[in-house]
Amino acid sequence: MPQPDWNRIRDIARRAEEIQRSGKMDRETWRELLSEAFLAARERPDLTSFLSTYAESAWIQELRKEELKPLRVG
Amino acid sequence: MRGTSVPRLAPAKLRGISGYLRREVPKIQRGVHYHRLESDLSQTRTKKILAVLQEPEILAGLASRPVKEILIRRLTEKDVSAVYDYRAESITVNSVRKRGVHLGESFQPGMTGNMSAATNDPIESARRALLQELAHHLEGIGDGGNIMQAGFASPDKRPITQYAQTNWKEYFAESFVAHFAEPAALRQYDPNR
Repeated sequence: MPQPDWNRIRDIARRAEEIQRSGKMDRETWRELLSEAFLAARERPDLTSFLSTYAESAWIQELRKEELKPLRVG
Repeated sequence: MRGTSVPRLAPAKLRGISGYLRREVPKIQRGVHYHRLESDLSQTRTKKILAVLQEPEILAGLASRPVKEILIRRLTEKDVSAVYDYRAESITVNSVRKRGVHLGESFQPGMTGNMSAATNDPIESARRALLQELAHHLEGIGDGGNIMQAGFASPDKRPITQYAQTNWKEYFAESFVAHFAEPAALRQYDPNR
């Protein structure tokens, strides 16, 4: 499997925490961090989930709209 | 044992004892442990994934704080593959697990990237991803958050995966997955868990 850039991921986590604490987290900032984290994760998207704690529900809903398949209720 | 004779008790004498011997298998229930489930996988595969939650400790946590929804569905590869929405109390797990992306890593405590990748079984990878996101849901119970932050701040900690070093939430979440998926390894590797 591709090896993620762990130092960069930890740096993004540290910055996300700082931005959140300063009250400056918004959709654009969050999406930028998500993109940066995805690159650092080297195509392993599981490793970006630490950013979910900083997201508004609407931002995650927006991601869901990009889903490909219709759902079957279970 | 040869030479000993143990009298067989009549069924009437044994009445009531079976409740002490039988271990009740916990069942995850809609309306008790979660409110809504959607999946684009077959019922069999969906049940296999959800079965990872059928542990007494997990069900007790969920009974006190049910998840609003569990979504197991195909997500675009460019975005997160499993996510917990803190505000909506919703867990989404990508139903597509690709080798080299979501799974296929060998498990070496402290060296492995993340627990959900440390398997070759796609269903097991999804089960672990569900556990990982559930851990974030359980952070909100009681004083758990403070206890976990203190654990992460401890110099004695030995994060079970590389991802567990990200922050205290991921430290807890990865340890949580390892507690169920690789319990012996976690006990041995991280005395701080």
